[in-house]
Amino acid sequence: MYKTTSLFALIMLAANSLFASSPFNGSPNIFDDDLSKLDCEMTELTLLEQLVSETNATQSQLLKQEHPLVLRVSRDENITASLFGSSAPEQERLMGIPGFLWGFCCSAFGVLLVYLSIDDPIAKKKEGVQSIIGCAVGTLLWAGLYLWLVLSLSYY
Amino acid sequence: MSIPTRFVLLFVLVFGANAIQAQSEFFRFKSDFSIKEKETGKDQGRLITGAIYYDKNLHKTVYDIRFPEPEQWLVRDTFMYRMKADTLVSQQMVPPVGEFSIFYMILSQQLNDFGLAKVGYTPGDVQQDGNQVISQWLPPEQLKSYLGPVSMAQENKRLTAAAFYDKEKKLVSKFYFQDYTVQNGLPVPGKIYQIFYREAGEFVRIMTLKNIIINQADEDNTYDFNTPAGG
Repeated sequence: MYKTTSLFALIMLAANSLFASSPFNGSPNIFDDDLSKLDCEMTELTLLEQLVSETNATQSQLLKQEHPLVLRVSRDENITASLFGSSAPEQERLMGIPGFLWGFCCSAFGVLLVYLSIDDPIAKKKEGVQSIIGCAVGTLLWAGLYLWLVLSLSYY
Repeated sequence: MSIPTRFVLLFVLVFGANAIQAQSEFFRFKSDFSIKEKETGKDQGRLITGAIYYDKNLHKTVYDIRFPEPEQWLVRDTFMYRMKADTLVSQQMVPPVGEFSIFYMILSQQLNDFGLAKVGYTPGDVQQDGNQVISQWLPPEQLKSYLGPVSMAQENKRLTAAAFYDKEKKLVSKFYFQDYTVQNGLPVPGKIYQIFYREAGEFVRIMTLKNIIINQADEDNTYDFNTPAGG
């Protein structure tokens, strides 16, 4: 169980997208992103963060004041994706973990979680099917292991 | 040694290890946090600020959110309760987030390698680049159809970056861990950059952690919250 949860933790951090921008090429150091550039892209959000920290203002209060910085943030109230790790509705995965693994590791419960937790219909269908396949593969493997155990124990 | 004896030993080892882990030294994490995120080509982004309370042994997480609007997200096992002004406004099923979170990894001291070895990843090439040690990890053979390799960079035995690939070895996401501080002997990153590579463009998320407290002795009622009425 610990191994399974560790695997989930790993994969949660791993993926939100099926597509990629550059291949795995064994380069000595791919960690050459300019992080200061990323900080620059977030300048307005950082200023807003400082303002909020100093004034304890909420988004609705700043909207009433028509503060220019608050216009730079989305008014979408669904912050689930931000807290739990997904990045695009159509590519939504339950905690970023592929549906196959939910079904494989958690069986029918994993399939249920996938269907109940994913909102986007496209993602729900895609991940749901994957979780069912994972559930089937996992069940077959466990059944095989069980049979092997029973046969081994009865032999001894 | 007979097969039944082996299984008894295996059982004792596995559950013994879990019991020891459950009583590990670091079990509570509190921090102020901010999450900033933005998608390439979009004018608007998102900002969330608040405080996080996480208890590894209780499997409970509290997100005390201040911005955009004050509210609390209480996560316990597979349920999340969304509270506004102490009133339950919604609840939904979620995975047992506590054990999947970055906070769990920090407290369990698994962040330096993401626990890759424990889940069956095997180390590949290791290269030195200046002060950084860059290692590649390969997924377990039976999961290679679903998982890709991982590259990690470490400096002074602390994880500084990680890159995740899909099964076709295409880059999916990168993480950078910066501004480490040591809290109660536990190294904690103060800033985590996440870059997700998608067809539509990059999606960037920056999480900052401030005022970190490990193993806080008070605020028990927050860490060990009661299930809201109606939940």
